[in-house]
Amino acid sequence: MLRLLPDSITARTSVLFAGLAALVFTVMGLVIQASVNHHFVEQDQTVITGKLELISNILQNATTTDNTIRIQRQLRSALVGHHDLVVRVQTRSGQDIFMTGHDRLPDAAMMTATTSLALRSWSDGTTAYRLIVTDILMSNGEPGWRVGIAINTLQHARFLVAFERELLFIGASGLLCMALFGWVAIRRGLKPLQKMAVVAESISAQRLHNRLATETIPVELKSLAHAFNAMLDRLSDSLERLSAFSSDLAHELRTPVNNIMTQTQVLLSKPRENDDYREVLYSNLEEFERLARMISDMLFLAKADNGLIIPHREQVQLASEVRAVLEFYEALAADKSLALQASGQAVVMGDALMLRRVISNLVSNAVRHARANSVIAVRITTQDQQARLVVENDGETIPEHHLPHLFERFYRADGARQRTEEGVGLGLAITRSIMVAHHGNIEVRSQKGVTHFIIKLPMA
Amino acid sequence: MLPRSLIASQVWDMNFDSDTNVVEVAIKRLRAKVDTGFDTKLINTLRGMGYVLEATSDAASAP
Repeated sequence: MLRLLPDSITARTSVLFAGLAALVFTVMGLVIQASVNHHFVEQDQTVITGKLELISNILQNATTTDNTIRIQRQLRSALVGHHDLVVRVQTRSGQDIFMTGHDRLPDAAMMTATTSLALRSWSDGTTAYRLIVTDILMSNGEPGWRVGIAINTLQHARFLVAFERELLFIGASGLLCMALFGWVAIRRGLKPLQKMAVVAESISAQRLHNRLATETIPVELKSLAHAFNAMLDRLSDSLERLSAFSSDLAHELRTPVNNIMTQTQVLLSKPRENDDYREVLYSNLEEFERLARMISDMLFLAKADNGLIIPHREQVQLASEVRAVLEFYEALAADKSLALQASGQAVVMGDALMLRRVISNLVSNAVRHARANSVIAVRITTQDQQARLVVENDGETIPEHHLPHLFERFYRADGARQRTEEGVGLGLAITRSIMVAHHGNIEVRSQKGVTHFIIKLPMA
Repeated sequence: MLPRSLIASQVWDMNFDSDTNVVEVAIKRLRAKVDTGFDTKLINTLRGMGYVLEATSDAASAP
């Protein structure tokens, strides 16, 4: 396909600029030319009709043909100072009585006379005139003289040609200037884009801190610059979390692997009894179980991150799920002298197994952190087509600054990476993933020794 | 032999790995009701794997 415009915005806009300027200059030139021409015609008309009036006045006042010399003198003084005029006066018989001007008005031009005062154009190939040829009557009403007044338009034509050339020259240089200025202006205007490109080039995973200085960027590009900076913020945030996550993951994996390795090394360092071997194998088995559980949790989260966790959609009775979960934890709760309470009912659309896992994670958390001899309450309420499930337990208040991070992987509110028998810090991350997959959400509040985990789900 | 996860899913319909020791606690209570006061224990622990129901003397059961 024929490409009419080049790829570069600068070149394209310059070309358009130049085209537009050419159009404007052309129209302007034509208008100026026409009006100058018109002006010349009007000027000639005024001069010629004015002189014609003078001449006819003089001729009409003359009584007889005898005083030709007087007439000639009068005519000469009337026409003094008008060198560009060509005048020729003939008697009725065709005898010239007066002639002035640079050249002699040709006989052919004098052939036809008109009565109107409109200018005629006359040309014989070598010279061109604008003229009036008219007959003037004597005072007694008889035809007396034929008068021709003309202005040689060759001068005008020459002037017009020169003028046209000048216009063309001005127009062409104007055009060049416009194109050049346009090119420069656009290049300058697009400078911020080049700056953006430089910043973008300097960015890599290790150097995400560079930002565009938005205050120096023109308004048109501000939104782009802001979007660009926001993208960098998000990228850097994600990258930070990703690297924190992988370091956490490495740490969590290293501990059980180290345990297994150390125990095995110690065991193999000298001959042992059978029972000793069995003991260490059991211990290793426990570590392996812990690892296996962590890996399957990680797999679940990875799937959730990639949108691969697609919950079944079935009607789930939240109350019966809560009842089943509480039954499961009954023995554990009784061990810590905790009372479990449930109230409310709601039906939601979702995956029963996953929702049960959510409730189980929350209750298990509550049991773990509850003060002895307290009550753990699970309450279901509904409002505006939303089901709310709150798990409440008495226990130590979770400090405010931990709350937003509780659902992050491996996050531990106690800071120290102390290893407890239960859990690796993925339970709440999984809980949130499930809620996200269900288009619900989860939040936590902790005040005055009471902690609430609240999940919200759209109702069936 | 019954693994803990099987017990959790069969008894409570909890079909996922729980990171709590609910099953251990429940077995402990069950043992208190079934085996306490008898020389021959019926509920035996297979460490790291699960539980098994068989008649063993107190002395032979796993620690």
